[in-house]
Amino acid sequence: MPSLFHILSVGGESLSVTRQGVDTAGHNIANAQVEGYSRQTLSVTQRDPSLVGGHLVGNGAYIQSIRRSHDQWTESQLNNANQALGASDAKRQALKALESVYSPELAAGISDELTNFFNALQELSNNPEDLTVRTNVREAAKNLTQAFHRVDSDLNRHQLDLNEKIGQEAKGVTDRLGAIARLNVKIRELEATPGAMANDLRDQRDGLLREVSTKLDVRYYDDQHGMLLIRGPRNATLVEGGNAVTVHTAGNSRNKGLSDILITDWEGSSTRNMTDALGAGELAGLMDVRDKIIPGLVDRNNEMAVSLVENFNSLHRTGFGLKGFQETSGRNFFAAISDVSRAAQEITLDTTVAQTTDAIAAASSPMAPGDNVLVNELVRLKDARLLGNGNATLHDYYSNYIGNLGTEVVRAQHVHEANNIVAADLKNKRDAVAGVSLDEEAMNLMKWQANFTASSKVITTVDEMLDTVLSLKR
Amino acid sequence: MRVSERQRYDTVSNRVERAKDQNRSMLEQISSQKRLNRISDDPVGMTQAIRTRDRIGTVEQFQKNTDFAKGFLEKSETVISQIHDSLIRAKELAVSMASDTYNAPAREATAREIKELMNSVIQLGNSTFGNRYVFGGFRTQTPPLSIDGQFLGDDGKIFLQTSRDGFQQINAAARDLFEANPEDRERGHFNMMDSLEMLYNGLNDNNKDSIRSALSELEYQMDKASSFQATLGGMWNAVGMASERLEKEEETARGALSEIEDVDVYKATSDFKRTETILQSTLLASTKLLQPSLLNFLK
Repeated sequence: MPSLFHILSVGGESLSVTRQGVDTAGHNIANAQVEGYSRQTLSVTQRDPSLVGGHLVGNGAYIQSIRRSHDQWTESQLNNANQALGASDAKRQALKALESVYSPELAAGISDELTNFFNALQELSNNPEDLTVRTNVREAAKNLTQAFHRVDSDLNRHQLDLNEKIGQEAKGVTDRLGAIARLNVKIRELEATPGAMANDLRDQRDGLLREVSTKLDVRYYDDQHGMLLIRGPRNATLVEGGNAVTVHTAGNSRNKGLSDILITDWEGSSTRNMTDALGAGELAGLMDVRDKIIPGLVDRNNEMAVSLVENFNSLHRTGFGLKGFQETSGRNFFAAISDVSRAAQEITLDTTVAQTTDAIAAASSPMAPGDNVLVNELVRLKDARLLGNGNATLHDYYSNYIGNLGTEVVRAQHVHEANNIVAADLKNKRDAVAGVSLDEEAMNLMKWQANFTASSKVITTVDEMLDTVLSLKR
Repeated sequence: MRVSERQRYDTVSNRVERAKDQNRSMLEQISSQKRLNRISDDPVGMTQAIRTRDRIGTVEQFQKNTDFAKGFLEKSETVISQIHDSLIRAKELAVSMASDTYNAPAREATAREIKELMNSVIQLGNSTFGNRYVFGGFRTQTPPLSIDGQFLGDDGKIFLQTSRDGFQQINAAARDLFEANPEDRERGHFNMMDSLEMLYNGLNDNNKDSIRSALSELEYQMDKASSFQATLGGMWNAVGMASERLEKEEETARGALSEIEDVDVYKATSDFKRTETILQSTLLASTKLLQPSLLNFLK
């Protein structure tokens, strides 16, 4: 037969178990709205019985551990989904900003200025000898060159913005990797005690991992000490134990000085270039827009400028102007382009034409101020298929490349929506397991409270029994 | 299934967010009255809109070209009919002076009127439209007729674009009007001024024979003036037809652009109403969804 003191100690332990139950429920309620918090549950186990007087007598219950409800499998799926989501989100946002360069509300777009320029030439065809009309042609041409400049500089500005953002993202990744490494050490220290689970620190570490995985292509696993080992692009180790690499950027002179992504290990001994190996994550999405989409648009813009300048000039050189220029031909209208890859930036009027509108050639014969034969040929350039291997007029080409950008934006939006649905679904799944339900916690509170009352009852009962025993002596 | 607090809040905020976004997009359409507010709204439509807008701008310019061409042709036609009138007047004078009833002084007096007519024909031949001489071909800045009536212009044909692939000529060859071509010269014809000069000299010399030959020569000049006028009339008709075509084309293009770009107000308004209802009911349901908890019933 167990002693009364045995019952007293069972009751006392029961009291502390139930108190812990209320404590855990309170902790859960406090963290109910904390992003990334995993609900904690008390794992209470019965003690091994002891053999007393030929019977196996129960020894009450004790707290085995406090665990977090956590589904590793969903979590890793979610991290994978986050990589795709990060890439598509970054791409979508970058493209959204980019499409404003070609906003239909902008009246001075290249296509409008092209129309205006060719209309001014039509006026020149009506009145080839009129000074005002000639000035109008020159101004329309200037506006057109400025439209090319604006698009080019807007594209470059967006490219630089993205470049800066990539730098910031890289820094953000470094910070988080460092924090994960520090948590690795803490978790290892705290979990050295048998049965101890560093639930809250693990939640924090999972949160950081989720953020890293939206930005970078990563794979990871726990080592035998519960420390997270993370590998990144090209299988480079990003975090191992308490060490983390530095992700940083450096200008690449072969890519207009735009940043490359570099990873330097914690000893600072080796640096690897990851620019071309970013499979997924925000950084990959930003790189895609910066290094593929924007340069593509810049090229298209340059191609248009070159084609306009060369075709226009080659006709214009055959013609004659007015007054001092009525007997000489061979003048350019636009200044010749020296660097095709900077054509949209370079395009400008020929210096002579800029100085005097008499140099504009409308006539195909000398000394003929009313001759509009050449300007009629120039006007035809508008409908000539100059681009895309002789398939597209200037306007066709422009509207096609804008249409392509628009389609690209729409596609990025659709991909993002799809990724978002997948991620939201997984998040929902995770929250169903790990999230706190207030109703459930309310029931836990009731349960543990009732248990607490009952445990106290055990102690008061033993107390009364002891009183009875002590009163035997009287 | 276990439902946690965060799921409930996330669901509510996602739904509200989506309803708000749809509502915002419809509001944008209504307030801008445009269906296309950025290129991703409809990339294909955007491509068409750019082309159509260019089309409209070009058609408007073509209309300006036809207006100019009409003005130029009308001016030429008025002048040529005045020249024709002068020739008729000269012919009438020649007819009466060719009879025997008039004497030398009367013919000299008539010669002075012929001189006036000659000057006015030269002036008419040097008429301008704006700041350009209409009969000079490409030499629009110098008078096409000299003081003695020699043609100084060239044979430049002025074309203006009136449609995507159509150029319209707006001046007839004035050399044919004022000069006799080599074939006619072989047949014994003269330049216009020379014919009038012949009459003038005949009258001054009181020579009935040369007055009579000048008379038949004047008929040749009048024929040329009429056919020149007819050529201009033909050009005017072609320009007029082009201009009507352009008006229709502009109307069609504007219609097409509006179809692509502009919002269908009734549809947009009803869509806006619909999204508003969705938003309101989502919000209403959300307050109901988020309130109850076991805790509300625990006393």
